[in-house]
Formats: sequence, C-alpha cells, structure tokens
Amino acid sequence: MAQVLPGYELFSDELTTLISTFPPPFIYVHDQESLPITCRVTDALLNNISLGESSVQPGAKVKHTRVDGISCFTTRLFYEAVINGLVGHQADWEEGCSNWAPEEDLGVRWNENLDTFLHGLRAVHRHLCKQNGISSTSNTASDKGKDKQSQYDNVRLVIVVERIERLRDNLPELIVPLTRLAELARIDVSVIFMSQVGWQDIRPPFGASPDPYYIDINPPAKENVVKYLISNFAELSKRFDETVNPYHPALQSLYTHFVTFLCDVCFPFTHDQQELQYIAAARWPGFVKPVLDRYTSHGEDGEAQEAMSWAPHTEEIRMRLAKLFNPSLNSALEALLPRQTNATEWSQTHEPPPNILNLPPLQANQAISKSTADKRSTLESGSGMKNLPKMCKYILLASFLASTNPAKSDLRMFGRGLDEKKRKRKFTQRTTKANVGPAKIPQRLIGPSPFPLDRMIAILGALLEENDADTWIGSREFLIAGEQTDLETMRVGVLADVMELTSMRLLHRTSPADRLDGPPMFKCVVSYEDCLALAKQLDVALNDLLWDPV
Amino acid sequence: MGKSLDANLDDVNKTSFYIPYNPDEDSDLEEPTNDNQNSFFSESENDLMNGPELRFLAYREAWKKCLERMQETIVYLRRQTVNAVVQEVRSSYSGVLPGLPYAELPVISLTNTAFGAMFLEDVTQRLNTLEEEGRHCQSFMLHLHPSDFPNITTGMRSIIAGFIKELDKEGVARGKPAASMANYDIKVLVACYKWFIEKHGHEDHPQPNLVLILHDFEQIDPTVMQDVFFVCSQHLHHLPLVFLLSMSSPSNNYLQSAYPRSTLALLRGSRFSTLSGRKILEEVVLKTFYDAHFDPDVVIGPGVLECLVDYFSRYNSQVDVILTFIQLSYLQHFNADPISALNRGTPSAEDLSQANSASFVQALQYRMAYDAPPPQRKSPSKSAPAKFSPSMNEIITSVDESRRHFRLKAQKLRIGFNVLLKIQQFFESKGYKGLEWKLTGEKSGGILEVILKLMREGFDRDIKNAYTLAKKLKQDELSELLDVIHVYFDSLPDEVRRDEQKSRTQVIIWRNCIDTSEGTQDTPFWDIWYTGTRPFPSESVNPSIRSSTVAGLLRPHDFGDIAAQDSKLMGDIPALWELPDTSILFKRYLDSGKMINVYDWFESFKAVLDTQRSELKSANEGTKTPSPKKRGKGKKRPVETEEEIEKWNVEVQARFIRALHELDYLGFIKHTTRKADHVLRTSFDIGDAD
Repeated sequence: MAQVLPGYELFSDELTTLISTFPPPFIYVHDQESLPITCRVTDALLNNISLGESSVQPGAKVKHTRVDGISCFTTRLFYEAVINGLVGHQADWEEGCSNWAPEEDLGVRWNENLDTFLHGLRAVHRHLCKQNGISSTSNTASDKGKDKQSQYDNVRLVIVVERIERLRDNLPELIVPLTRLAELARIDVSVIFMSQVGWQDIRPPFGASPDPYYIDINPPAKENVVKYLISNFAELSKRFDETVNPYHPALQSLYTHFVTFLCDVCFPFTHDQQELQYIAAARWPGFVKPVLDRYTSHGEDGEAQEAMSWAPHTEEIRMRLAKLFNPSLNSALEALLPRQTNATEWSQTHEPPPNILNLPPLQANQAISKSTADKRSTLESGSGMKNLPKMCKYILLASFLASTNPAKSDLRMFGRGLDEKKRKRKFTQRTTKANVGPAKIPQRLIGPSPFPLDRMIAILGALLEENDADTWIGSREFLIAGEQTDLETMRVGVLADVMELTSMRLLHRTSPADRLDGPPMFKCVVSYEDCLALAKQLDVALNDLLWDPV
Repeated sequence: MGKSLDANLDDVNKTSFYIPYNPDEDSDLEEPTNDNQNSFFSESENDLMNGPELRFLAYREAWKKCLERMQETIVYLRRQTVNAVVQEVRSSYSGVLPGLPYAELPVISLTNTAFGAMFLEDVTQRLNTLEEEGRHCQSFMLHLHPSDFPNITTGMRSIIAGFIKELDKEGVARGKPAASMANYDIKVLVACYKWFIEKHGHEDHPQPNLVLILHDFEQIDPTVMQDVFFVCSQHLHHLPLVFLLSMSSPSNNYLQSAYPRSTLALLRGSRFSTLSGRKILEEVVLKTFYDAHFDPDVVIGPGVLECLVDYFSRYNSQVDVILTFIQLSYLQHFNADPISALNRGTPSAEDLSQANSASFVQALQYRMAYDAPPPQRKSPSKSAPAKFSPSMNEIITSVDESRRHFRLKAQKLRIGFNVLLKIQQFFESKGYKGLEWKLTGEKSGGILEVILKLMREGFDRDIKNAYTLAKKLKQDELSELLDVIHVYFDSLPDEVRRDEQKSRTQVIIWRNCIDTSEGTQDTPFWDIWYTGTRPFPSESVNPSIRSSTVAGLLRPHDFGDIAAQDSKLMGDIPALWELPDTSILFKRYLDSGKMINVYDWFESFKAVLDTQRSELKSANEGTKTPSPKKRGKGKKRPVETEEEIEKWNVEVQARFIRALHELDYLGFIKHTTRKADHVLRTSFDIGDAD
C-alpha cells in the first residue's frame, strides 16, 4: 500500500476497512479545512483497493468513480459522469464521443432520468461482473438486491460525490435518490458524500434520507502539515535534470528548516496545506538562490565544483538566509493568500539580486528591499483610476456622497443660500451628535445605499460649482446663478459617463434597465480610500462633505 | 420604427445608438424639398461651379491622409502592450513555477480604457500568426461576449462548440446526439483536442494553446463565470486553456472584488493595461500636427484644439474621440468656406471662367486685393486696392504661391517648435526651470496647454527667452544641447534637411530656423489650410439635453429649415398662435403653478387655438391661399353651422390630447392621484420663460 499522507492514517484505515468489508450504503465525509487533500487521499485509497493492493475480502472487486457538484451542473452530466467513470470509458472524438453502452444493446440511453440511470447502474454492474469473470445473469440480478448479504456478487461500486453543497443548489432533486442508491438500484453500491458543509445543512426535509455513516476529518495539525510539505520535496527534485536547481536533493535539509519556519509564520492564518505549499513554492526559489549563485560561481572558478558542491550548509549560511528572507514571508502571506498577485509574479518581484551572500549583511538587506521595490514600481506604473476623465472622477465623488450621506442632509451640506455656509455646517454637526443613538450603525459599515440619478446630478452640480466652474470654456454671460451648472450637468457627456462607469462596475445600477418610470437608481461601489484619492486629485475636501466623516 | 430597429436598445454596454433615418416610414410627413441631398456639402454663396463636389473630394483626400497618420501613431502607441500580452499568452504554459500544489488556469486581464475594440483586434492578429521568429506557435482563439454566458450550460456550450469548430474544421465525426455525451460536457472538448493533437500535432509545438477571449468581462455574471473557471481548471492537463479578459474598468482589481477567494485560487491572474489618459492625446496631436515628418493638408487651430483637449480630459478619454473631433473639424472646415476647395490644387483657368464661378472668382479677387502681400500691393493698383482686378492666371499663380508659402512656413514652424521643445526638455533634464512651460507634474496642463498658448500668443517671447537662457549655460552643457539639436536635425527627412542646410551651419541654430514667429495667419489665403480660431461645434457633439429640449419647445422655428430661421433672425418673434400645438401647451405649462388643472389648461389651449383659427381664416380670406403651416384648416364659408362647431371642438380636444401626450413622453408631466384632474409639473425655473 502506498504511503499515507501524514494525519490521514486513521481516516484511511477506517475507510479501507469499511469499503473492503461491509460498507454502509451512504457515507458522509466532512472536512472543513482541506477538502481537496482529503479527496486526493480518498482517490488514492480507492485506487489501491480496486487494484487489489489492500486487504479486501477475497474475491470482491471494487470499482469507484468521483464526480463533483460544480462540474455536474445538469442531471445528464451527472449520470454520464457516473456511468462512464465506473466503467472507465473515455470519449473518443472519431466515434462521436458516444457514451458507454454494453455490447448487447447499443442505443440505450441512461442519461434521461433517474429511472434510466438506475438501469444504467445495473447494466454497469452486470458488465463489470462479466468482465471480472463472475457469473451473473440478468434474471438473477434482480434477486440479488433483496438478499445480497447471503448471495454476494463480488463487484462493489463506490461513487464519491464531492462538493455536495453545490449539488444541493444546482440539482436538489438528486440528493435523496443518491442517499438511497443501494436500495433503489438493488446492487452493491456505496455512495460517499464529501463536503466542507456538515450533513445537517444538506439533509433533505421530512427524513427523506437515511442517516449517513459520519466520518469527520480533523483540522490538520501543524507538524503534519510540515511533514506533508517536506514530503513533496523528494517528488519535486525528481522532475529536474539540471545540476543546479532549487529542488536539488542536497538542499532538502535547508528546505526542512525553511518549511518549519514558514509554517510558524503562516499557520495561524491558514491551515490549508495547499495554500502553504503555494506560498512555499513562491518563496523557495528566491530563498535558495544565493546558495545556487554561490555554487555556480564556484563552479566557474575551478575544477573543485564537485568537491565543494553540495556540502551540507553551514549553520551560518542558514542563519543568514533566514535573517534575509524570513521577514518577506509575512508579505508573501498578505499578497498570496488573497491572491492579490500570483506565485510566479510574486517570486519574480521578490527575487534577490545575484550573489547576495557576498555582501555584508546590512547591505544585503538593503539590496533586497531595493530590488523588490524597483520591480514592484515598474509593475504598478500606469494603473489605477488616475487617468479617468475629470467628469468621471466628479461623478464618482458625487455618487459616493449620495451613497453615504442621508438624502435629508443634502440641503444642509450643499445648499448655498444667503446664510454663511460655515454656520450651517456647525449646526448640522451638533444635530447629528444629538440624534445618533447607540443603536445607529454608521453608513460606512452598512455599505452604500442606492440613490436616484437626479440626486447625484444635483450633488454633482454643487461639486462642480464649487470646484470646477472656472475651468469651463466658452462660458457665455449667464444671468442666473447656477444656470451654467444646470446646463453642464445635463450634458450628454455626463450621462454617457454615468453609463460608462456603470459598465466599468464602478457604479452599480440597482433599478432594472427596462424601467422607464422614474429616475434610474444607482449605487456607488468605489471604496472610501479610492474616493479619497480621487478627491485629492481634484482638490476637493471629501471629509468636509461627508455627513458622518470617518 | 419597425424593422430598422434591430439594435438592442437595452444593451448597457452602449452609450448611444444609431437609428438610421428611413424616409419611407415618415412618408406621410412633408417631402424634403432639398434637391441637393446627395451632396454632403451644401452650396453657398460665392461658390465655385461644382464647389460642393470639389470640396468633398478635397476633404476626402485631406482626411484620409490625416487619418492614416493618426492610425499609425495609435498602432504605435498600443504596440508595446500588445507585444507583452502576446508574449504572456504564448508562454502561459511554459516556465510554470515548480512546486505549486496544482495547475493554475492562466487568466490575463486586459484593462483597455482608451483603444476600444482595435486593441483586441491587434492582439488577435498577432496571435493568429503561425510562425514567429522561426518557431511554430499556433494557438486557437475564440471570442465570446457576455450574451454567451446567460447560465453555465449555455456558457460551456459556447466555449466547447466554438473551439470544436476551430479544431475540427472538416467535421470528422458526430454520432447520434442522444447516445453521445452532452454538448456542454467539457470531456467532449478534451476528446476533440486529443484527436487534433494526434492528427495535426506539430513537432515543435505539440500543444497549441486554446485562447478564450472574453469581451466586456465585467458584464458577465460572476456566479456563472466562477463555475466556468472551475470546470475549465479541472482539465488543464489535457486542455491548455488561456483566458483573456477584456475589461474597461480602470480599478484593476475587478477580479479580486467580484470573485471569491476559492475561484481566485484556481487562477493565475496577470494584468496588463494599455496606455491611457492625456498621454495618448498628446502623442497623437504632436505626431500628426507638430511633426516635421508629416505635412497635414489642414492644420487645426487653437479653437478646435482647445475643445478637443477639454472634451478629452473632461468627458471621454478614448482614442475615438480624437478621431471624431478632428474629422468633424475637417468636415466643418471644408463645409464652411467655398474657398477651401483650393486646398489641394487650383482649378484650371477654364473652370474658373465659367459663368457659375464668377462670384467665387470675384471673392478671390477681393481677397487678393486686401490680403495681398506687400510686394504685390506696390503694384500699379496700390493707390486704389478696390479696383485691383488680377487676371485669371494671376489668381491661380497667387493661390499656388500661397499654398507653397504656407506649407513651407508650417513646416518651419513645426521644426521650430520641436527645437524649442528639445531645448526645454534639455533644461528640465538638467534641473533648470527653463521656459515658462510646465511639461511634467500633476497639476500641469502638459504640452498641449503650451501649444495652445503658443498658437494664441506666438513664439516670440519664448524664442528670446530660450536664447537668453542658453547663453547662460556652461560650455559643456551648451555643447551637449547643441548635440541634442544636431541629432534632431539629422533625423529630419531629406528634403527638409536640404532646406534647413543653411540654418544647420549657423552656430545658434534655433534663432534662424524658428524665425517664423509671425505665425501662419499672415500668409495670404491662410484660411484654406488652417482652421484658425474658428470654434468647434461642441454643442452638437455634447449637447445639454434639458436645455435643448426646452429651447426646442420654446423656439421651435429656430430648429426648422434655414429659410424659416432667416426670417426669424430678422427679429420678429412669432406670436403664440403661430407655434405648433405642443409649444403652445408648453408655454401655458410654464405659466402655471406646481400643479396643473388639466381642464384649465385645456381651456387656455383652446383659447389660443381659437385665435389661431380666426387669424388663419382672415388670412385665407385676404389671400385665398391655404396656410402652409397648419393641417386641416381652410374654412371658406363665413357662417358656421352647428355641425362645424362641434367638429372644431372635437379637433381641439384631439390636438390637446396629442400635445399633452407629447409633453408626457418628454417627461414634463408627472401623474398624481392626490388631486382629481391635476398633473404635476416636473420642470421649473426655466430662465428663458417669458
């Protein structure tokens, strides 16, 4: 039996025993933290059993398949995936990608509904029995289900369904039949559901499904994760042919130290082995580069390449590397866990300059931070909302204000009557303090509220009047105050910009596009920080205009 | 509107729609009386024979030349990003970082705010090439749009069917649809790809990438798309898929904000963004109108440039805006003045002596008399310039001479400007302030502001300043500066260099070569080649909706045909009864309060119509000709029967209802149930109301 991943010993023992002896018809595996790894383990385990490498009850043959709830978005796909998977049928283009069918009757369809699917399962079962030399005829097959304990038919089907929560959303009608598949098909079949969600959230109402056999996977322990990451190294080093590569077997001890420290830093934030492996893959080539540089430079120097080559790394080098690169693990975690960038890009930007170990420690540190900053600045140049047209920026600001300020406050914030403006604002602040009760949640925590276009245009007018009016060209003599603002805010360009911003998803239209009655409603989906940056570019004091400043 | 309206008016991606004019549908309205409707340009006074046609031809030539130049510049501007994107697509599956827990789906987001569809076209074109630098690099492309992804089933079907069409062009095999796998099953595509590789696989490049280009990615529902990403990422070992997402959002973390982390973890996202903002406009204008390598037929003046800069930086920073503005200014240039027909060549003496062209020639003669450069003015007719009447040949020579003169001068100006620019850039690179030009910095207007200022005020002061400043430079700095200028002159086209030979030999080069400070407007007939300060019709590009609507309702005759406009220009404001029904109703609307009683409104409307009726009747009795304006008038009998009055009342009611609905449709009325027979006003404070 192949090596079991650290931490999965209990699970694999339990499952192997169950599947190879008397499996319950319905097993539910619940893993909150690392479902992909558990799926992989289950796959490997079932493979072993079906190849007969595990201790299976003599003569029993296990066939299995795995489907997932996202890829099978229609019942037809689900049925086809299960039946083709169990038989091991591959689509062939020249034969028109036909589904699997037994030799005796071609042209049967098992993908139409549940009934045909059950017939299909039985046909698969018959076929597999025949294939394995087990005598099984069609008229005895129906009797088998009734008393399968006594008349054992020696082919056992195992269907693993991953991400069952998505199957419940997409194809809820399949859940109950799947949990009772052994009863319905009357063959020896076991269904395993695997999900991050507990069965209590999936369970169909009215007790329609029997209770499953529960297997809960514990969150991975830190030492197991470390072991898992280290175990990957050997496999990776097999892939390389070159003498100088970051996964050379001689570097294994260094890698062990590296991974241990990486887990120390990152384990509190994520327990997902794959994520930690991802971060390790991004950081390791940079981490080990100084060592490789040293090796190659020595190699160029003379013949003594082999002699010095992969001598065990001294404690000093290890300490120096740790000191140089360990601080960057935090930034790797921050950038890579939310996938703000990808591992390849990150490892390129954080690659240290060559021969860093030859520099004195302080300079080496500076050189690393400098090269990283340089590369990052070249990546980030020319992006962002800086290049939006001016009116778009004003519209975004106006929408942000309309989304965060209550509509009642507009007149007080923007209305310019005969009174002094300052006095008004002071007055408003006092009232807010008086009105805010303990239960009131600040607007910025509730999220943006929708506003009608007219209100935003009015705020836009006030903003333009205050900040931009002197840059308008060709201003004729306007007799009435605000007349030109009125003219400018209703231009086609402004409305076109609103639509443009909506299509960029910087504004969100909340009213349906086909409603003609009343003004269209929008929401501003730009963050406060972005708006602040925009306001700074336009010289607008945003905080003065917010009803409830941050 | 019927069949002509195939366009989906609900499409949120479009900000405007073109509804073609179909005269058949409006055939019940008045027939257009303009006989000359085939011609783009209208004929005007003092025009040449065939003037409109000649001008249209000249326009086409000039615009084609200018457009080609601008497009070259634009292609150049986006080339860098295109190269980077193509490189990224090609290398998506090579050089993958070792040690990753699983294969990632390469997803390339393209932020393209300025170049529109042309950018993706460039990318597609580059990716379509089979071999590059001697290496085989085939890839298959599929363009999909948001409408292809209403749900996951349709989305997958579009992807699979699209790629299969590319891979299996002959349609090798298709079984019975029921017995075969679902056509939205990705395994079908896997099988097809496998078959393709076995059949047509190239040795150098065993696995061509499948590039999926998603247009307007922001419009695709993220819940659908995240499943598509998942399904595709499950088969990366068999299907080298690459997603190219075209986005217009400049915030460049759209993926991060719209998709969950679980989806992002499947992707290897990389981002590219094209050049955007003011830089594009600067490059295009400089390369087209201020570059010694190109000589445009019409030079745009400060009037147009100012509007362009304003509109581009204020409303819409797309490349199309630049093209549209310059095209419109060209159109306007050739449409406005008959003299622009002489832009590219002068008609022969025979053509000019045609009777139809007499007034045109006369106009030219007048222009020559007043415009004539000093040496001509010293001719015998100098005492009486009004009687100066040159022969046909003299006119032709003079125009040709002016054309040559203008071209030369414009070229000199361009070189001069570039030399000044080089000097200023040199000053700034050395840390001096230099001239009063703020080329860089957050708040500066950039090079275009400088150009505008120069065009208005001339070069004089800046040349003097540059001269003084250069004199203060140190010896080595000065020689460095001279090197820069020398290199510039070396890069000029040959024929220009020959002209400038003289100035190149001078020690202080710029003083001589930019001694053209008098500007282009001093050449005779300058307005043939230069738009000058003529303003751009920006109101027609970017009108203000509400004020246009209100103006249309208040002064409907100003929007009618030119003849009507002319008569109104004389100053007589039409009486209320002369206006169309909707306008009459609107005037009364303006007189009312916040709520309008519909019955009162009707009464006041009826009063106006009664006046109209009696006025028309008296007019008819006076001239016996039917009114051109109103339909269904012409009561000839003086005495009215009961029946006729009844009929008239019904007509008034019908006209009222029609006008009311028109106002309702324009959004001026809000219905309310608060008060019976009342409607609400929606528009107030119209300054024009009288």
